Amino acid sequence: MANTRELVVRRKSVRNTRKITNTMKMVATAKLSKAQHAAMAARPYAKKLQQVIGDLASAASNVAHPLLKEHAEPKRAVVILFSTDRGLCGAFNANLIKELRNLREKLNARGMEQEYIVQGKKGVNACRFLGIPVAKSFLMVSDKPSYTRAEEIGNDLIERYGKESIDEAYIIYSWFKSASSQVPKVEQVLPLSGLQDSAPASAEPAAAKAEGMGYLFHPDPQTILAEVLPLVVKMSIFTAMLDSTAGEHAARRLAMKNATDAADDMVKMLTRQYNRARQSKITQEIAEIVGGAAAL
Amino acid sequence: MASGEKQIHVTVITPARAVFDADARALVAPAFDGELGVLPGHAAFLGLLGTGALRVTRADGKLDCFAVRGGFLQINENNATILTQEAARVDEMDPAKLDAELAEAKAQQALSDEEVAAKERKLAWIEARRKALAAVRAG
Repeated sequence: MANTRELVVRRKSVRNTRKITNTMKMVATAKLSKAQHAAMAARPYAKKLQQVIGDLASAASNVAHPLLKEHAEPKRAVVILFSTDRGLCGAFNANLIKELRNLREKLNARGMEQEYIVQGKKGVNACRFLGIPVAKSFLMVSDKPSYTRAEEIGNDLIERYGKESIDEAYIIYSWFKSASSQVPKVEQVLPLSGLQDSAPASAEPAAAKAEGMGYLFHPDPQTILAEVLPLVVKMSIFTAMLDSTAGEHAARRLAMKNATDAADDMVKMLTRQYNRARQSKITQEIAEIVGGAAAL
Repeated sequence: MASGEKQIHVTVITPARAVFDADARALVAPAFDGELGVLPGHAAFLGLLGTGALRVTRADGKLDCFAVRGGFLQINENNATILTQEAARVDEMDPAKLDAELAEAKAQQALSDEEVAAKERKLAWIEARRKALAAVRAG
């Protein structure tokens, strides 16, 4: 039978841990609602942007823009990883790193030079462990997404893409599907290939085309398109930031909830053990006293 | 449309939030090459915006002003949507702070072409907010 004192000490330490995880859970819940709100607030803009592009694509006869054009011999790719600064959020970062390794293998197979830009300390540490050089990192900002930062990153990418010093750009982030599900995702932001697929699709139905034709454009559609496309790149980056932040808090809340539940179970088990030990000790003492009295 | 007067639905959206969503009698948007007035029943339209003040006259005659930084104006079936990278509401502005920002921006040295362009953009954004503020004050 375990020593009762030992059991008391262990139960106390589990209770203390439970207090910490429970508090972290509550903090994450509060932060999640804020981050989720921010992520949802950005969706109308992204949706509208897609719609405007659809309208433009159906009106402009030939969609051509440097950002849409693939470079002839792709040699250099930029990969942006959105990880977190703090741990204790389950497999959130591990899933992202897995995507990063997959992408890296693919790029290596194609003989591409790679440049890594990482947000979050956990991503930087993982890259160091894997021996991946990090060209640029953003630390202690993973729970503060800002459009200004997304704009800076986007402008830099667009400028370098225009000069052909980079040929492809990818972002790896966690798509915030819902509070209970975050899906790690790899998205190609440059060249903007997805748009070419969507452009003919929206132009195909005659009705959609007629609608697009009805627009008055000021200035001409090509010029507007040249303004919209960089916005799409920046918005992809901003969305990735927002989703990562919301996903981080959701993942942490879940991890902390599980930890709190596990601590509850453990306290229950330890209490039972303690009671049993205490009872048997008392029984034994009584037996000894009775035995002693009988011997007199 | 209780009054029987024609109205147009106006929404102003930025990446961070929806700034404005209401019916209006008229709006004046800062197009890239000058100001553009829109009344209810406007034809479908898609245009580039510059940096400047956006003025919306609500259905009840109240005037709302925002400073917007670039983006587009889309009009479709009596819905006007303004997509902009940044929008500042007049009631969120602090005139004293704006003046300080202006002085600071003006004092900043710009040597390379890039710096000059950045400075100009900064000044334009400050100017847009001042204009929006002035428009509200003028009624």
